[in-house]
Amino acid sequence: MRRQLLLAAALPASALLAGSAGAQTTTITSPAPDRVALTVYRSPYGKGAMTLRYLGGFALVTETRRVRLPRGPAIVRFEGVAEGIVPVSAIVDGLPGGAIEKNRDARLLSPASLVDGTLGREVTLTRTDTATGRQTSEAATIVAGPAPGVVLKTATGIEALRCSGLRERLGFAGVPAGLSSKPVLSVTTTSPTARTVTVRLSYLASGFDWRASYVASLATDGRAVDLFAWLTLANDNPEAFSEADVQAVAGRLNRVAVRAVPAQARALRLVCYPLGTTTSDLRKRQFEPADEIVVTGSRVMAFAPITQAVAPPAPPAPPPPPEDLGDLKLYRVPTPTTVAARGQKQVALLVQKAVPFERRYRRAVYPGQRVDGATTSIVLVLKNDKQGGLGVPLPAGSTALYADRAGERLLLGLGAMSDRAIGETVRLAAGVSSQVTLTQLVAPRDPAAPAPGAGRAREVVLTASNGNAFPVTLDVPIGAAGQAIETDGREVGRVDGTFTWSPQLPPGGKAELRYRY
Amino acid sequence: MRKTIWRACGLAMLLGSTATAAQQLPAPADAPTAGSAQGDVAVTIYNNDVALVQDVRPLTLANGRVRQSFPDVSASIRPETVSLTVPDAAIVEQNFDYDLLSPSSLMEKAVGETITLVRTNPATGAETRERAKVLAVNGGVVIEVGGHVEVLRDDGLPVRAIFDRVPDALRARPTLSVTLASTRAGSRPATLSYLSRGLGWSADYVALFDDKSGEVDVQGWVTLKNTSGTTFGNARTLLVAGEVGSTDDDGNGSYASRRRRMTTTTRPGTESAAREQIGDFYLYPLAERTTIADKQTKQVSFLDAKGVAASAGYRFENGWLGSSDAPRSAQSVLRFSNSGAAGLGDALPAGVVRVYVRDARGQPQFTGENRIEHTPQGSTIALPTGDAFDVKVQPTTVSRTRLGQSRWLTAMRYTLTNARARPVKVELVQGGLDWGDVRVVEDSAKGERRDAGTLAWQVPVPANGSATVTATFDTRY
Repeated sequence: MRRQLLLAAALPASALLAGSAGAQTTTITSPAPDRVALTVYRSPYGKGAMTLRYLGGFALVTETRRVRLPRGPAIVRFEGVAEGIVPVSAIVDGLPGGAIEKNRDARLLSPASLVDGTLGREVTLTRTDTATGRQTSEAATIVAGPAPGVVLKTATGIEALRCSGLRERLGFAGVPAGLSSKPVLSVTTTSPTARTVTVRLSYLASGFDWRASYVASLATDGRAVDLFAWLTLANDNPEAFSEADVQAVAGRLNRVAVRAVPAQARALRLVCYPLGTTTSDLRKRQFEPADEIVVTGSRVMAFAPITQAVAPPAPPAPPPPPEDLGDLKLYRVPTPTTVAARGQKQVALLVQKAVPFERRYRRAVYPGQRVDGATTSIVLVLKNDKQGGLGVPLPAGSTALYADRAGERLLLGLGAMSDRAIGETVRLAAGVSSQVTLTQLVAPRDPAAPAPGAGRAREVVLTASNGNAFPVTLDVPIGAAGQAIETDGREVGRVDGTFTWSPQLPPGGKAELRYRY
Repeated sequence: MRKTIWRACGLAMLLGSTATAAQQLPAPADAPTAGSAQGDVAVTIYNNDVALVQDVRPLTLANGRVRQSFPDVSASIRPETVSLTVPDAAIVEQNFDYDLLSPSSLMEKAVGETITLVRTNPATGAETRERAKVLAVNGGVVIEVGGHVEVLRDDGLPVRAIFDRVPDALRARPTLSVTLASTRAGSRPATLSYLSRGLGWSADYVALFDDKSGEVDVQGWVTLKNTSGTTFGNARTLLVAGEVGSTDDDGNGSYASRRRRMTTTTRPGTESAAREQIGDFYLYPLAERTTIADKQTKQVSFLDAKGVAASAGYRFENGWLGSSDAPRSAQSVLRFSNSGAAGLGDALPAGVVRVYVRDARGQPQFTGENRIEHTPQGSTIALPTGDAFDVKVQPTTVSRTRLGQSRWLTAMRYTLTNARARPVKVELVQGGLDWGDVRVVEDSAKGERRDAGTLAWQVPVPANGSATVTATFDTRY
């Protein structure tokens, strides 16, 4: 009986709480946050540039909202939350009566749910005569629907919607209870007094990502680089976050895939009875499929123009060094900034002037592998410590190396870098050299001289050459870590467990190594 | 064939909450025209997609044999599990009818019947009516009109087909109906109980960790999800932490490996929680009646513990004597206990623990999450939350020496680095040692051989410093 009364008061079904027997449950809507803080996390295994259509990272959104609570039980609806919200991660602080329940409703208003919610009730069926434009309306009751097809009961009898070939449309008296345009997060609470409170709502949301983009400029003397890094963050949600406190967290976090209840919003699929005719294609073995009309309300996914920062002449001031957040690193964007809906944004991450480096060439080979004048990769090796001119945590990202040529910038190399803590070695890709080359040949077995060792070792000749007018250092790791090779007197050291030949090549010079494996 | 598909579609796309038994039922006793037909509902939800729904509805029955339909049961009902208890009435038969009303089924059921056709002249809009007999519905509708046979809408011109009535057998929704032999007339409560799919629950935890004090505040929420297609109004709700098994499995349980790299490790506790128990299951009743709306995710608090002793640690596992040419991050692991002495003192139902740490401004920031299984009270939980930025390990295969036909001597070196301003302790694990009989020839620190597959060291690494562990293994491969 009580339920009937409450229903008569046209309250949504979710408003029914037994604990509030007799008391009216008021629904308050908080349309938008007053202040937002956004902490963006990288995609756990993201590499290279971000794909703006699918961002694998996420964010912790912390919203501050002012809510006027009435005395007694109330439902507070939070609107304007990020579309990618992970509903189960929502935390609501600041309600004097606490959060009794947190609900996320995913029944959406759509053509199909409109029919579904009106099943058994009266609608208006309107037919338009295409010849005269005359409209005739009559009352009808939906007796079946929405899938597959809608059956109506009119004064004339039982009819199927839009199977007659006439222009027919349905008019509904109102929106059925419990349907909303977007999934709704709401909280039920009870306040002892009517008051305005500040509520903090925080939740995880998908559809965010960020990357570090390092830009290294080679100094004119060729001995140091000026390092600059962009923090590029992107938001694929249709919500904008204006004047937000933005942070970015570096480090890989463990995530658990949580299956959220998908928002239910279906198109109305009207399937009629079979309408094959005598002129249907007779050669077809199967009957023509039933006439199908799809009334769909899909949203056009359009990308807003990407607001991309153009590199200014002088790089902007970098933020303060990151702070430790547990075992992660937290970077703060110094001033509140607006993160646009479906947009990408760049802010300065770090500036380090005159970082000395060592230029190395590198080519890994396997014993016995035939290598014929192979090119070598050029790497600038930096030491991430105070003596090395750096000494800051470097989050993973892409690297680009530029040089100056008569006032113009010239791209030398592109690469990637993983997270580098203080004290680690940083390698910047500086392109591929076809001036410094490596050749490996397997020497023919001399039948006269028995091979040393087990008698089945083969001898290999490695030749490195330098076509440059300056000396270079080449690193040639041979084989896998732990694998043994045998050389004639010449010392070949182990680097990371792998035998590595590191010849110094003078300008226009060559070097040779013979080893057995 | 197509009919079968439509039926399947109809079942799969069951919608609706406040739907009513709209069509003319044979004996529509007590069928409301608006709102839900549910009575006093109690829902018991288990973890493995099973829920027990008990629905007490007042029934007004006549004396004798009565057919009673029950609209607004779960759209994901398992009809074979239905049981009904009505005082002074015996059940003759139970039916679950899912022949759904649609334009096609309406036309198919009209074969042999007479319908009205309204033809509209496309030029003038003039309507002409005639009666027609439906002869067949096979790919197209064949009708007999005024003594000759034609195909409906053969010329493509507008024709309204108007049926006189909805066939008895067709329903807007799958409907449970019961035929009762009633021994007296009058109203009485009927208890309908059945199992349903589409209702499930798990736990979600918010763990706010403070490294300085070594404490974690744990809030627990039960999260229940309703994808059954039906709203349960004002229901008494009970959540059961446990799996009642399923008729779809053979009862041998799952052999899912619990020792994957990123999974939580738990040392099971032996304490009993002060929760209501039934058999081995803990029960989590919701304090108040609640409406579980269709497509709703609902969270209700069940645990709020402050100042639980916790510590942050590091773990690194190297697979089969492998080498790495760059240092790799160690896992960050949050360790805490749910024993009474540690301050938590509750069994923890399975769910996801989200870990937060306050930043320099006091704002809680997310630092990772992981899943826990049903955890008895008194357990010790080691929860990997992610990779440490500043604590890294580089495993190196220093040398591999052949000992004989099928034996190798493998020397390993592990370089541990710590860029943090305070000393840390890393649990260093060499795994994969159960490939053949591996003997540890020597190690620089005494490792613990936990099982055939792993050797573990607890390595202290000084602040802004490094440490090295070496070990030599006699291996088969």
